[in-house]
Amino acid sequence: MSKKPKVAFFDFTGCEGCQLCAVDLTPEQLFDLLALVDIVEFREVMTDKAESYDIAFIEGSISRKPDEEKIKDIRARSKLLVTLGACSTIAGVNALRNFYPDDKLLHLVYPGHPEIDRTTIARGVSEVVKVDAMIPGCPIDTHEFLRVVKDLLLGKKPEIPTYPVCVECKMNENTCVYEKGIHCLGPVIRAGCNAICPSNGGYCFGCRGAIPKANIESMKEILQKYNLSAADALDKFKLFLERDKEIFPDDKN
Amino acid sequence: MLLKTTKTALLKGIDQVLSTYQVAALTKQDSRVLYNYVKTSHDIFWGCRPTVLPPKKFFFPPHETLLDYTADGQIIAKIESKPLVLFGIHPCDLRGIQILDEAFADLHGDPNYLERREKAIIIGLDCHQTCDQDSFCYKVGAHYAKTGYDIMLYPLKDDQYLVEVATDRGNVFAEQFLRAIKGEEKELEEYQQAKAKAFESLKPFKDLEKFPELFQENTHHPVWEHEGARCLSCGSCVMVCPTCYCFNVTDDWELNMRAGKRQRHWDACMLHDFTTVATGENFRPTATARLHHRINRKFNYLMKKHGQSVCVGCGRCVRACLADISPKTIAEAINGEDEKEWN
Amino acid sequence: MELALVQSNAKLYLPEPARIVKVRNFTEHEKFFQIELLRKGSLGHDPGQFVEVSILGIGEAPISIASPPDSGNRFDLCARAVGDVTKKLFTFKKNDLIYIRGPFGHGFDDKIFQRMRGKHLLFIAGGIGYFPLRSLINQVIPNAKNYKKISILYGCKTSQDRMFPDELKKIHHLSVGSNVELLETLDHPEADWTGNVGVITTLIPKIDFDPAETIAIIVGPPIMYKFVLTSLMDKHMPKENIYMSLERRMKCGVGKCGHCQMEGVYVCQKGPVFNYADVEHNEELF
Repeated sequence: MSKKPKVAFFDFTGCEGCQLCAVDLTPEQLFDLLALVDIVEFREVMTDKAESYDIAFIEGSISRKPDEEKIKDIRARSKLLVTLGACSTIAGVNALRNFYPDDKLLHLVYPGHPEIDRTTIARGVSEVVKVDAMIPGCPIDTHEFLRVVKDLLLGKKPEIPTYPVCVECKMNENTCVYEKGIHCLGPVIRAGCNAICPSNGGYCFGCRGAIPKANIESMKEILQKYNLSAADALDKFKLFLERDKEIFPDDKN
Repeated sequence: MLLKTTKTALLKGIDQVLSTYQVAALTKQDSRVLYNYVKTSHDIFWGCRPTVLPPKKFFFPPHETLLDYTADGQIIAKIESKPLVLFGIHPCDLRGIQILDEAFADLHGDPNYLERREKAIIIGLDCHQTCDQDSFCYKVGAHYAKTGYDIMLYPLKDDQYLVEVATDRGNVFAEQFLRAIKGEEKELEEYQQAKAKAFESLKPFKDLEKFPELFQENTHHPVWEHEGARCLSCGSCVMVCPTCYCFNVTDDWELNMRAGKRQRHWDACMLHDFTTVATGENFRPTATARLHHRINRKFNYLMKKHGQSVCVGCGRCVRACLADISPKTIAEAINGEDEKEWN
Repeated sequence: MELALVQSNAKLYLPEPARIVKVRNFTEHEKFFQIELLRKGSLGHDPGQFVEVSILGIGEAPISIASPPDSGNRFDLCARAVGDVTKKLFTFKKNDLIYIRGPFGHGFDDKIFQRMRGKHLLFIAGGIGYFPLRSLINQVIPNAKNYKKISILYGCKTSQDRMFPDELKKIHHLSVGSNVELLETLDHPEADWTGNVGVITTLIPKIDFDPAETIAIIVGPPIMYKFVLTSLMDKHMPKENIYMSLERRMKCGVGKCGHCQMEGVYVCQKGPVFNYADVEHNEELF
C-alpha cells in the first residue's frame, strides 16, 4: 500500500473548468505530481472512490440543500479541505442569482417548471464548513494550484497574496487600463493571477475576491470619478463579489 | 572630456557595441514606451516619454533567484548578470540609480545588485523641459544629473549632441564605439544657459534642505489622514518608484522536490501586510501610517542618509495613483508652500 | 560614488550549514536547539544578536541567540513555533542540518559592557523574552563580581511557561549569599506556587536599587514594555540606563529589504538591542 497522501477532487455548482486547470500539466509535471500524491477520487477522470482523504479539493459553490449534506460529509472524511476556484472560494458567478428573489429567479430560469424549487442562495464553501486553504480565481492558476499542493505536503501555510492585482500589473509594465478609459477592479482584488486580464488587453473582473482590508469606499469614488454612476460602480462588483459583505451587506435586496 | 557627435554616429556606435554588450534603451511596444533590450539601434524610441517602470529593473529585477539548492544540500548563490549599456537615461532616473547604488552598497554590499551595476555603462540623456504635468523633477533639483552616468549626452539642434565623458568606463565606450569630434566648453555653457532659462519659472520646494526636520515635526499634520483615507494600499506607487527597493524573499521546491530556489521579489511598504510578523501582529496597520512611512523615506529617513531628496520627482507614482495622491502635494502641505488650510 | 571601491559581499544571502546537536522541549510550542557550525571557529556574536535560520524550500526566520559568545562553535537557539520555518524546525531532530546567516544586528557590545561594569544590573524578562536575555544573563552571572548586583525579574503566565526551569533553579540556589537574585512572578499560578503572583511590574517595588547606578535590560512581549517603562520612569531611572530588545520583521537581516524599518530605524541594524534614550521618540517602535 502506498503511503502517499490521498487526494480527491469534488465538484458542486460550477463549470468544472478549475478541475481541468488542476490537471492541465505537462507530462513531466503530471508524473512528478503523481509521485507525490495518490489521486483517489476524481469524477472527471476516474470512477474509484475512497473512504477518507488527506486533501480534498472542492470546486463549485454550495447552492442546493443536498450540497450542504454532501460537503459536510466530505469535510468529516478529509484531513484538509481546499477550495478550488472562485465558485467554491467566494461563490463565483453563481452568486449573481442571490440578487434575485427566489420566485422571480425560478420563473426566469425555469419557466413552466414550478416543481423545481431546490436551490438555495449560492455560497462559498467556507460559509458551510471549515476551509483549510483557498485557491481562488476563475479559473484557477495551475502554478498556484501546484504551489498550494507542495506547501500542504511540506507543512507550510499555503499563502495566497494579500496584495492587489496592481502590484503584478505594474511589474508587467502595463499601461493602466484606466488610462485607456476602461474600468478595472485590480486595485482591490487579490493578486496571484499575474494580472493576466489587464496584461492581455482586458481588465480585472474581480474573480479572485477582494483583498483583506480593501478600501472599497475609495474604489467606488474612483469608479465614479471615471464616469461611472454609483449604481454602475456597484454593478462592476456584482459579477464575482456578491458574498463580500464589505461591498454588499446582507440587506442589499 | 567633452566631445561632439551626431545621432547617426550614436546609432552606429550602439550597433557596434551590441556585439559585446546588451543594450537597453527606450523602445516602443504596441502603444507602450518602455525601457527594454534592443536588437539594433533602430529599436530605440528616440523621444522623451515617461515610462511605467524606471530603469532600476535592469539592476534590481522584479523577481530574481538568490539561491539554487538541491535536496542533498548543495547551495549556490546565484547572480545573473551580463555587460549592459543603458542608453538614454534622463536626469531623474540617473538620480534614482545613484540613490540605489548607495542603498545597495551601504554597510553590506548587495552582491546581486552590485555585480549587475559593475557591468553597466550608463549613457545619460539630458532634458531641457519637464516631460509632463505630473513630473516635478525641478522641485527636488533632479532635472540636473550631477553624477550616476558614465557618459552624458546634451542634445543640440540638428540632431547633434555634446558628449560629456565622465568615467573610465564611459571613455571605453567613447573611444571604441563613438565617432566624435572635440566639443567646445562654450557650447555646453550655452546649452546650460538655455536650459536654465527654460526652467527659470519652475522653482524648487521651499526649505527643501530642511525637509527631514520639517517632516519629523509634522508626523501628525492633517495632510496624512486626508490623503491616507483615499489610499487603496495597492502598492503601485512603490512598484514604479526609481528609489524604492524593498523586497520579499520566498523559497520553493520544484514539483519533483529534488531542487529548489530562494527568490526575491519586489515588495512594497504600502501593502497592508508588509510589517505583519508570524504571530499575526502588524506594526503598521493603517494606510495613513504606511503613506506617512513611504513619504518620510523619501523626504526624511533616507534623505538624511543620502544627503539629498530621495524622491526624484519623476512623477511615476503620481501617474500610477488612481486616488491622485502625490508626494508633491504632501510636501507642499508640510512646508506650507501651498498656503492651504488642511485642518 | 566609485562603484569599483564598494565591497560587495558575495555571501550576503548564502547561508552556511550547521548541525542540530541537542533538542529540548519546554512546551508544545517552545523548544531549545543547540547548534554546531560545520566549520571551525565560533559564530562570533554579541549577546542579544540574532541569526537568520534557513530551512531549504521553506524559508528564513530571524531567531535570537540564547547562549553567551564563548561557547566554541556551538550556540543555542530557542524558538516558539509560530511561522513556517519555526514549525518545520520543530520537526527536526538531533543531527539534522539547518542553514544559518549571521550573526546580525546590534547586541550588547563592548560599549554597553563598559557601561554595565560596576553597576547594578536589573533584568526584566517576560515569557520567552528570557530566550534572548539568556545570552547575556549566562555571560554576566559567572562574572558577577564585576557588577554591583544582578537582579533578574522574570514573569510568566503559568509555571509551564517558565523557560529553562533547571537553570532558574540554579540561579535561585546561587542567590544565597551572593549578589545575584532572581524574583519570579506568575499571572495564573497553580496551587503549589509559592512565589509572587501578578504582572511583572509588581516585582519592581520589591527590588532595592539606586536608579542612577542601575542598568535595566528589558525583553518581553510588546505590551510589556509600556508598563515596565512607566514603572521605571516613576522611579526616576535615567532613560540612557535602560536597554531593551525590540524585534520586528527582520527579513534580510542586512538593512536592505525594509520590512523591519520603524520610522528611520532598521531594527536589524540599530537593534534589536536599543538604548531607550535613543529611540524614545520613535512612535512606531512603541
